[in-house]
Amino acid sequence: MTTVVGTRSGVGESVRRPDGIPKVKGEFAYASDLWADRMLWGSTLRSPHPRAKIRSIEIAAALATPGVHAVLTHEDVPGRKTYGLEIPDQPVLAWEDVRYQGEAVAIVAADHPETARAAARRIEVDWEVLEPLTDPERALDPAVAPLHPSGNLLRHVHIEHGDPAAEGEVVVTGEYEVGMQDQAFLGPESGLAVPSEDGGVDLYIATQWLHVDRDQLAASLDLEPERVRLVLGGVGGAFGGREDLSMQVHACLLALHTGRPVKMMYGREESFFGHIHRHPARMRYEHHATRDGRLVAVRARVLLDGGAYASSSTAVCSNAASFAVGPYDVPNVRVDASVVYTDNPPCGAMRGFGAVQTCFAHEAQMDKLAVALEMDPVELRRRNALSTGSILPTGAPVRCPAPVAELLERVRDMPLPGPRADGGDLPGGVAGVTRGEGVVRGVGYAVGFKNIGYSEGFDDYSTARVRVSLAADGEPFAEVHSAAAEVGQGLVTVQAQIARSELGVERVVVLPADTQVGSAGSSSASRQTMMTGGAVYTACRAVMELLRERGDAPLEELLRDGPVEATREYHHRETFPLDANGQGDAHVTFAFAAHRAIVDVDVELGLVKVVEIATAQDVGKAVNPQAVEGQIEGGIAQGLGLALMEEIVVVDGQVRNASFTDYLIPTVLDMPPVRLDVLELGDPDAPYGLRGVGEPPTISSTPAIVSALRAATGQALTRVPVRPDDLAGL
Amino acid sequence: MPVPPAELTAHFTIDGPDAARAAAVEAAGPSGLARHGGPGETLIAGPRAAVLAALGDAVQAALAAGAHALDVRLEAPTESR
Repeated sequence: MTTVVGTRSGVGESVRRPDGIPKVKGEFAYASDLWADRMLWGSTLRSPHPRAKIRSIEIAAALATPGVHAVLTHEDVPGRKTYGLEIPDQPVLAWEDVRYQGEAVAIVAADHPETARAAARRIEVDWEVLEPLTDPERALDPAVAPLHPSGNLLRHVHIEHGDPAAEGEVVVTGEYEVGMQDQAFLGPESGLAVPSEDGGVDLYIATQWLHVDRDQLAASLDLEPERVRLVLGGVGGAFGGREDLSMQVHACLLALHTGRPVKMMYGREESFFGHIHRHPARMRYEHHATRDGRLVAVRARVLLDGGAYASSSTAVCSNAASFAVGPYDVPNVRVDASVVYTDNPPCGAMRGFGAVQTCFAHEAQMDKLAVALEMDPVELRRRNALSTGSILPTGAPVRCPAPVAELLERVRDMPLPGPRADGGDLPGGVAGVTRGEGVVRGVGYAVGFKNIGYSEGFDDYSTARVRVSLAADGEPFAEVHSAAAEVGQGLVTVQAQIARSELGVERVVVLPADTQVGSAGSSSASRQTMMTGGAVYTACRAVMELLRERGDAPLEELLRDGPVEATREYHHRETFPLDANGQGDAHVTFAFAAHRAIVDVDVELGLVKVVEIATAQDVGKAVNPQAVEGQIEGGIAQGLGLALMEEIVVVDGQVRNASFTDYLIPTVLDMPPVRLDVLELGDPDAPYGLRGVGEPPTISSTPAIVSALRAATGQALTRVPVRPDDLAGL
Repeated sequence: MPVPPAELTAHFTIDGPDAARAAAVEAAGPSGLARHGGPGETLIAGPRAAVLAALGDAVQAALAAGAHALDVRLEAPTESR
């Protein structure tokens, strides 16, 4: 029998990421660094109007610009003229209507990027400017002209559980809002399309899901999928913002039209118009409880602004509804969640995917309820905590470990930071606006949860090919091939670690991700460690079976008969759609996290210093503990951003802050120390008990910080991001 | 994208008077599945039975309003989903 010995750099070890040092040193090759001989540059003309009719498009002047090789409009899209993840409702290039500021209208290829941009500016569009529909409440009015033929309501999810009209002895209500957050990935959209001899195209691209990009490209380019080949370029972050197409079809159209490689690379401003964002939300909640703090009923109304096109909105809406009451046992629930079309920027997937918005609201409600009951807020949460076997508002049982009470206890029991520091650690930092006068400390708690992997009946799977052979020096050598996108989360390392552990081979190479192997699904929904990790695990097990058929000998001897290879898919347990009352076994598994935030607030100036975040999170299995820590800290930074500073400001459909000068993201100066406790309660249905890590830190860190701000200021703070004037009570 | 993409997408264009195109769009609208698919083109995307029903309504309405030709293309998701 083949023996697998303990292997260095396997599962459970903090293995150094291969991309870490090159990224820190500025040597990592991102998709924006791609280059090819005779390469042209693409540029996009976008609508300056959030809503308008196109009377005509005149391209002659642009085409006559020296150095320009192509100017294309919707007439040049040979196949399907629309695209979309769930509903193909977004024009590749607009033909008659534009529905948001920044919608693509025409594209240019030229021999220099500045020439391409100048030519795009010379395209003459005769606009009939219309009044935009920007209020999501108004979009629901049947008297308002719809943006799309079936009206403005994209999806409504109704959940009814127990007696939705049940009443409690103590009732708290609240209305909450979440602003439009951007993924703010550091590497803007970029890719290189190269026409191939078979009439197809090779696209090197920074994306999250190669195969769904390919399918949408093939439809719009009117090519067979086999003639559209994608290779993952270096990805500078994603967070959901690369799930939809951006420049993919445009670059391929230009490459096929000119017969030359075409590179497209957005600048920072264009990036804000080139991808979807987190849905802004308006929420109304009503919590009923007994006097001893047992939740009796929750009623919630959630309205999400989907913007101009569908993207992932229907799924985000479903998630917002599924997780609307939080990780609590609530016997009676009624949730109505809707997502609508407007002329605002399109919204779609972003880390936390619907659960972020509702977590902010349900956790604010739990704090409010604790005040009404004169009860400790942690105790109130603990008393109502979900656990394994609990029934969710969707009627499904929680099958996986659900240590909600334990997570809360752990963050509560962590040591508190010392007394307030002076100087640069005070709110306002080195500006020195206070010496401590007017500064109040606040402590807040929150807990949240979210589904891992795809839900509602999606046959979620990933594919991996594993090949083991002898290297030239006679040592065993393994190659792992999948289409899973490494977007900075450390997936390449995870794949190699699993292969090392399963094969007992230290030398493992993870091949570049491409469409020459089956789909891996998207690098989203915190799913890749479980799904592609599961696929690598399953393929490695198949390889070992094949080796065992060769006899019982050391690996080196068994491989003398030649390499062994296996390709396997990993599917998670079947899930089911929600019915008309929102009932169904829709989710495969969940991840939970709790946060405690300590803040110092200058209550006169409305300035904040987040002193510390303490968190406890169940990750199932920490394949790479250091990477887990990185994911948790990064997710908290994104949650801090939503709490205090990150919002795309949209006025009358116009984005007012499309830059990192005006759209603020947390820096190292804003990020507090993180006190971290990781639980490894394995999922019984997944290899190693794998679940997911990436999203939970973003979900409950925001409400924990806002809870601490409320404690410090006494202000209601019903909207994020919280502004200084909110804190100062202005 | 944690829910499946549309099970079936129907694209159609209509030859005939503008009233026929408008009637088809109006008939498909209540399904909740109709979108614009290109110049003069409408698409209906969603569960198979609902798409076929809405398409039937659209075709009936278009013919009743004077359409003399309809081009219909149906797309189902590929294996990668």
